[in-house]
Amino acid sequence: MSKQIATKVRIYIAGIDFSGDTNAATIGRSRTPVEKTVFLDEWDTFMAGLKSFVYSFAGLWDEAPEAALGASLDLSDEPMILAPDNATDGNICYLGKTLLGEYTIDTPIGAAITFSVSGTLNDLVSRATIVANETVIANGNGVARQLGAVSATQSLYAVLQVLAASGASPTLDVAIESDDNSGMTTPVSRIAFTQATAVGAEWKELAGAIADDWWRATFTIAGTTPSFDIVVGFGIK
Amino acid sequence: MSKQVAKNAFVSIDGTDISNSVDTISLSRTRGNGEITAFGNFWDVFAAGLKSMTFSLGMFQDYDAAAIESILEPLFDAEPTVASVIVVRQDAGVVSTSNPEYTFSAFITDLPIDLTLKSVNKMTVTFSNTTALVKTTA
Repeated sequence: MSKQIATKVRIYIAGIDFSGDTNAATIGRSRTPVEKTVFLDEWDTFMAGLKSFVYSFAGLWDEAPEAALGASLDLSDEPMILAPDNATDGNICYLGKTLLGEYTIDTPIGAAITFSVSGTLNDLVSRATIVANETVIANGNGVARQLGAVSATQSLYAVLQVLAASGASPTLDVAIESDDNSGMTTPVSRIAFTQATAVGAEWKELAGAIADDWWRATFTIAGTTPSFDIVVGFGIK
Repeated sequence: MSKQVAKNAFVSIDGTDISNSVDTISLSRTRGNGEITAFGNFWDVFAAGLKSMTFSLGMFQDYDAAAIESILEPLFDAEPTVASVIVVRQDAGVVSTSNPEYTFSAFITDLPIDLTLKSVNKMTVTFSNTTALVKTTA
């Protein structure tokens, strides 16, 4: 990926793909410095305080983000996946639990109508991985990826974004499995998302320790001509 | 060395040279002061207080394995936080009186992700020092 120009940023929140309406996105990661300077010190010195996370994105106003955001000011812990360079399977992403703080629409005469969104993140998993980005129409498995074991002080985090659902009485069960080999010959289900039947998103986490270091997503679909567009992000911290 | 153009500055974190991810180094040193002006003075008078510093790096983001995000994010996220040793000098060459080296320990206070359409993916990373700043010239 190397140094890059931002052209393919993907943003998914609460099952809505904002990528086609946005042209700027930020995640602020901060740690409060707490002063520990005392008599006899020659320099002000600090110790590390608590971390905090904020997010914002902006773009060209459209009915789709308005429908999602206009009534959402009281939403909390909405799962987010942000992929800085496309949400291709295997690419890096960030997982967050968003709390919407401000939604602004600007309407300057003669110029494009724009919107901006900002708020806090109640949790953030950096350097997560996209483990699925596809249209599911049949049972199957995602690509197995060696993403590491989970120590006793770490946890798994996974976000499922359901961007579209169609068919008669469609249902989709997505799970995260682990194994100790790339062939996933003895997979163990670690995280099971709530059965999806419509657009939406879910955040799941599981405390370690888990020795397996190979991971994949699995899909079980039912209904009449069912189809689901999904993105799944997975991380360990 | 006289006046010069910044072309080959050096910065490392915990011994890892990250210079090729950086295009701006800002190291500011200040000394606080307290006013001691009293009756009889005809000018404001101050006493010198403690020194303080601010440090930030303008960097190119890179998500490749072993690239800058993989170096900085674990330092930021670690609990408890362990300060990193930062080494900075205006040229990667030998330390000298014309090429002083600054060393201090610090932790990351801001590690943003800034993504703007058609712009190079960059960030300004700021640090807070846990120790005094040490300047060496040899």
